[in-house]
Formats: sequence, structure tokens, C-alpha cells
Amino acid sequence: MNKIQCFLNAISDSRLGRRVVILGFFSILLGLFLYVSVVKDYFFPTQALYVYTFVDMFHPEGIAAFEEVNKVKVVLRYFESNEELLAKFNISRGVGYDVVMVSDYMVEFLRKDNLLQKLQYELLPVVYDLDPRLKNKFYDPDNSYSLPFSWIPYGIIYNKKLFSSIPEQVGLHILFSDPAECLHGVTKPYRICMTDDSREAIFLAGRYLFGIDSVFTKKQLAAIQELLIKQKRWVESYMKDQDLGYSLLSGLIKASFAPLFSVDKVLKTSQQFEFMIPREGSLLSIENLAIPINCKKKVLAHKFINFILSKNEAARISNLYGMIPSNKAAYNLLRSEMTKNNHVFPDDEQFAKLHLLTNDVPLKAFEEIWLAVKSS
Amino acid sequence: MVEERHLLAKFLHPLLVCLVYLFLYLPIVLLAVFSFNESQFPVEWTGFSLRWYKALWENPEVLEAARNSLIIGVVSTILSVTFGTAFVFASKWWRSQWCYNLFYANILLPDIVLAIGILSLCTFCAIPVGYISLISGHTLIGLGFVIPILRARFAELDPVLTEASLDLGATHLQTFAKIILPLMKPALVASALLVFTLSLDDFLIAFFCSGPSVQTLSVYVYSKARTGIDPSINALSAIFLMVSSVVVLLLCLLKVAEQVISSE
Repeated sequence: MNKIQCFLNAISDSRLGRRVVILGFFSILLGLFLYVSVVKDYFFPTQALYVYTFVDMFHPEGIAAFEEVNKVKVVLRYFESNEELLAKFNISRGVGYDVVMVSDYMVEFLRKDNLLQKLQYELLPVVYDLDPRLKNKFYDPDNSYSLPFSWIPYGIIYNKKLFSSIPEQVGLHILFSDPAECLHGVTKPYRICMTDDSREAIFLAGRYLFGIDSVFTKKQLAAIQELLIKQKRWVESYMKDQDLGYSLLSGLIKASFAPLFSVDKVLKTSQQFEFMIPREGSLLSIENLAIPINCKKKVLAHKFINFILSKNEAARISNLYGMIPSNKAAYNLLRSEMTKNNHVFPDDEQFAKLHLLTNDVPLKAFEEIWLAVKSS
Repeated sequence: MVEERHLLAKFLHPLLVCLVYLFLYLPIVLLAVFSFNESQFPVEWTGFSLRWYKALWENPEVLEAARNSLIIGVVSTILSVTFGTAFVFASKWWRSQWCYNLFYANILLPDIVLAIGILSLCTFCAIPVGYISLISGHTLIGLGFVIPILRARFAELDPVLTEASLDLGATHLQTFAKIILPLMKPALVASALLVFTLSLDDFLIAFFCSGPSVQTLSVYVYSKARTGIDPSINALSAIFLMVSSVVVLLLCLLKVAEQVISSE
């Protein structure tokens, strides 16, 4: 006891000792400040399920229903692009998230980087209701890590006034032939919005010029580059998966290549516009649900996926936001204006024209072409 | 000729000033006006409506994001101003300038570098990203602005006032509270407002360091870009604008009242 007393006296008598004590006190305070949430979670664990997703993917009423049944809070956190998701997951290993929404091609990257955990099919009875056309794709051959949540056709949205008579199916010439020449029944020159993704742009140009979407020769790549540079003259802006409402409704652009979800509001707002899958073929995007490798609430995460993919919930989400559910039992519950249009809700014939972008493309060559296009 | 020049100055200068103000404030006015538009797209006026204010009120995510931004802004402002003041006072005993220069570097450093740095540090030290990482980041950025402002004001203070107060028997604490603090008030308010605005505006640090537990308004709005930003964000901005205008107006009124009282 005396020794401790002596030590404390020595500290309080010495100026250096006092400073060390003050410094130590503030260091402890700083440590507590930094780790306060760890301490809080240790003593009072949070009953919440963290879902990392694109915005506007879940129905608020559905989330509320899940929360009520499972007595848990569902916290939705949003990212803007798959690349953002990958960058953040590579740094943080997805710690803190329980369920994640991933687009097709990105599943392959996350899976190979060991950022996803295997799904337990015994906890996912809904899997047998999913559309077989969306399963076993290149990015997850046996769907061990991800299940399709929705699928989105890409197509051309255009103002009907552009044509003297509405064509049965538009072609990619809307995007690639010079509007000033007013070919194919076009009434007057117009400007367009083009995708800002090199892979998508080269896919479209390849389809338009050669009817193929991969394995290009050098000569073909040069022709694609030339076409994309020429196209710049009538491109108003380059956008990727973004809302085109302002540009289309204000008349700034008359046509654009876009995924269905990004023009759904425009189609609901105005009767002037039509969405069509081009006859040469187009793109398909499949959004998937997966569980990050560091998820601790595995059973709850599986329950959530099962609930979201269930027939009624999938239909409710689709009717609100415009993407097509992966649950084929939900197709009958979709709004009629959606199902009666075989471009918005592609039948087997139209579906066959939709292609997934794969990851085995020569990305470097594509980026060089895109750089040349943008800087020309 | 002189008359003509006088007329030119009389009409052209105010016109120029008006145009500059128009350029500055027209986007903000339009934003507020379209928050009352019935239509989802600010392309044409389809009728007056309060539906976006209702939608805002019914959207817990936007409100939560706004609340998070405000909490982080207020806490990081308090911390920045408190630490900044303490630093400026403590530095009276230091002779070298390098400590100050460290904080100037904060302003020069791109936010993205700081953001990635904080995220890497948090990951390395297993500190969960969320409120703490965001508040730390915003406080760090804030210090870069607070310290130069407070230091400049502190250097202007007449040391005779402090000495007189101490000579007359006031304690250090009393001198600080009754002499120094009132004299420093304009600089403290200015730096606090600056830090709060920076924090509310910040996107990059919030983008990297928000984590699953917190989402700020800027990140929420950015993630909405994919499917379109609906006018409820306009409504929220209009509310923010109204609140900040009322605060500024109150401050101005307070200043006028002080001047009237002192002149009497």
C-alpha cells in the first residue's frame, strides 16, 4: 500500500509524471470513443439485419412485414454501382452486412475474392420456384453463392413522334445511323443518350455491325471504334443506368439505350414513349441476393432471402419498381400493362435475344477504344 | 458625357449585381419551387402540391439520413471548435510553428486521401466504421479550418486586457470566460458554421467511412441517382434552406438589437 502511495506521490510531484497521467487519461478517453460501438455491441447486441443493396429494390411494406414476423429491424444501406460495392468489400471484407444485392457479373468477382459464403438450400425452399432461365449462369454455375432476385431487359426507349408509323420492332440503327439522314421512317433529326459503359457500348456496336457480341478481330474492333466516334455527333450525353426522365420528358433527347428500371417512371408518366428490345439483340441484367462471408446472422439472412423471393413479395416489388421477378410463380401477379407488352415483359422469343455480359472480354482493348471515343 | 457615364453607373451596376445574385440563387429558388410541383420531373409545372412534403414525412430513410447528417455535423462542429480553441490556447507556450503547419496540411490534403486513410485505419485497428469514423473524419477536416481562423483572431487580441483582468483578481477561468471568449465569439461562430456546413456537405468521407450502421444524406442522395432523385429531396432541401434562412435572419436581428441597445 505504501509503495503505491509513494508512486502516486512521485507522479503528482513531478511535472513529467503529471503530464504522463494527463496523456494517459486522454488516450483512454480516445480509445473508449473509438471503440464505444464495439463495447455497446458486446453488452447490448443489436437485433438488426443489415442489407446492402441498390436503392428502390424492396417494398417498404414487405420490409415492415418481415420485421414484424421476425421481431428484427431490417436496415437498408445503399450503394450506387457494383464497382463501389467491390471496392468497399475488398477493403472491409463486407463486415457488418448480412445480405447483399449483386449484379450478375459482379457475383463472379466477389465469389473468386472469397467475399461470399455458400447458401444453405435447406433454408431456402423458394429456390424451386425460381425461373430456370435465370439459374446456373456463368457467374455462379450452380447457384451455390447467389440466387437471382430480378431480371431487367435493356432496350431502346424512344419518343413515338420520331417515326411516321410505329415500327413493330426497332433496330439498333436508331442509335447508330446518322439521324440527320432521316432513314427508316424517322421524321426529323434527333439526339440520343448513349450508355457510358465501354462493354455495353462495344456490345451494341458489335451487334449492329457484325451481329456478334464478343471475340472480335482487330479489324472489327477498329470498325467499332470508328462507328462509336462517328456516333458522338448525335449523342447528347453518356449515362450509365441512370434516370433518363429529365432528358426524355424535356425533349432534350428522343431516344436512348437503357435498362427497363431506369425508364419505368417515364413509361408510367407519359404515353409518348415506347420501350423496345432491338431486333439485333440486347442486354440482360440479373440482380442476385447473396450472403457476405462475414455474416453472423446466417439463419436470419436466409429467412430474409426466402421472404423477398417469395411469390407475393416478389410481385409486389416488381409492380412498384418495374423490374421482373425471378420467381416464375409471381408472373401471374404482375400488373397487366407490364405483362401484355412482350418488350417490357419478354416472352421466350424476346428473351432469347437478351445476352448477359461476361467477364472474359478483352477489357484492356475495350477501355482503349472507349478512351479514344471519349477523347476524340 | 459625364452625365451619360453617371447614368451608366446608376443603372448598369445594380443590373450587374442583380444578375450575379440571380445566377447565384436561381437554382436554389427553382429547387424550392419544384418541391411544390405535382409532377415527378422538374420539366414542366403541372400544379401546386404538397405531396412531396408528405412523401418526405413518410419516408423514414430520408429522415434517418438527414438526422444522421445533422448529428454528425453538430458533434464534429462541437469537437472541432473545442479542440481548436484548446489547441490555440495551449500553443501560446510553444515556440515552433510546425504544429500549426500540420493543420494547414489538412486543408490541402484531398478529402479522398483522408477518407481512404480513415477507412484503412479503422479496418486495421478493427474500429467499426459508422458514427465514430465519420465524426473523427469531419473533426479532422474541421480542425484544418478552425485553427487558422481562431489563431488569427487570437493573435489580434490585446494581451493588456488579459493582464488587466488577472491583475484585478480574476482567475484564469474567469478571464477566459468573461474577457477572451466574448472577444473570440465572432471567430468561434464563423468557424463553427464553416465546419457544420463542411460536414453537412461532405460526400467523400461519408461515402467511404459510413459503414452499415450509418448512412448520411449525401450518400443516400447519391445512391438514388440510379433510379432518379424524386422531388422529396427538393422538399428536404427547401426545409433546410428555410431553417438556415431563419437562423441567419435571427442572428442579424440579434446584431441589430445589440447595436440599438449599445447606441442608447
